[in-house]
Amino acid sequence: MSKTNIILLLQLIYAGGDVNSLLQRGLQFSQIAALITQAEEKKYILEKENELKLTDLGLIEMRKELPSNKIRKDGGWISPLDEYRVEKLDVYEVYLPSSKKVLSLLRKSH
Amino acid sequence: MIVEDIEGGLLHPSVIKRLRKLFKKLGWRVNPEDEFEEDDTAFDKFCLILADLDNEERELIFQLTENFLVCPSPQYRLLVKSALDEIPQSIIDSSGEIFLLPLIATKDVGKAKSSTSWLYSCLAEVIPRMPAFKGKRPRGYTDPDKLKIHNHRKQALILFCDDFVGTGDTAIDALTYYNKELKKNDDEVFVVTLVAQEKGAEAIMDFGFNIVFTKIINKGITDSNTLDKQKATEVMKKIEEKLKIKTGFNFGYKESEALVSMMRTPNNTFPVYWANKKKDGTRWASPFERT
Repeated sequence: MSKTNIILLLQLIYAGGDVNSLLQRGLQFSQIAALITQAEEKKYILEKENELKLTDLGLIEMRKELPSNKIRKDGGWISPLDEYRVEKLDVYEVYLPSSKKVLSLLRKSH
Repeated sequence: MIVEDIEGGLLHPSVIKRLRKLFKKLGWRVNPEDEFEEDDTAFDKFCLILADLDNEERELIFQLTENFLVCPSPQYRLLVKSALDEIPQSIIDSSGEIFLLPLIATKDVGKAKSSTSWLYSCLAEVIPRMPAFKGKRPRGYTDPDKLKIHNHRKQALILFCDDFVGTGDTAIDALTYYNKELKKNDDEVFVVTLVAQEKGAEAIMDFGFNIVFTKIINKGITDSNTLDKQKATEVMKKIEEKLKIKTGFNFGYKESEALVSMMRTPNNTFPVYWANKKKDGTRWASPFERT
């Protein structure tokens, strides 16, 4: 499971948010369930009265910057939009997204 | 599954965790078994419908699903054997011939129904391996009328088979036809089913016939010991308000309130588990859609 997905999950749990951001990354609910289990096994989260909460370890993990693993200056509140990353291009290359992608981005901006 | 497929509401990780725990408790698979499995598993579909419900509606679905019974076709052989084991050995031993017939309404003869499909499995795979039937050579017909070929039968054991008995309406229709057109006085008749609702089993017995089954189930809300029935009824009505359900199927056919899915989900089960459309025409991702 992607480390950035785990960090996004921790951020969502910390903020009391929903899982839409993970779904937008292409994860299915069953995969999110596996991610939650992984986070529990690593002791980043625990369940208290039917609610998931971050542990101290989870809080530290959430604030790490990948891949350096140093603590982020912004406190770990913001996750990169991994689903929009593109491959690094040569300096002389030009990035032209597909029309489907352009339309999707236009829809999201409205 | 793409984001645009999600209708309405939002889902917190705690809800997904709670659903995963419930699936584990019930022994249901969370992840797809292999690459050929459809994209949306039952777990994914449950999450989609939970996302479309408010907190009290979700709570009701969680509580009802605790008692939901799933009997997929790979389990049928064991379940069939369990049901057949309930037939008294003395009756099997004293029977001249044994006939297996589908328990279907007269209007459904010739159609592909679940009662006809597992009849073959019963005849070919289950009964030959049961010591109780040693030395017997049962025959099966998909059309009950074929029993007329055996009008000279003596002390025959007639087994009317279906995987599920709900209200008992289908059974009574089939047994009424048997009484009228097929009966011989020295026949011993049993209805053999895997899962029966209590009301349907009682209807069959009140009609004067024996029934054997593997599991008996009750009405999900009316017979619950844990739910506030009035509140649960109100909440279920609120859920069903969103769904496209044919008249006569609210809370399941004739308000059966069943919580079961077999090879096919019976329409006696609450529609929230099998309906495929909402009233506004959008998709309802039911986990046990009737195919």
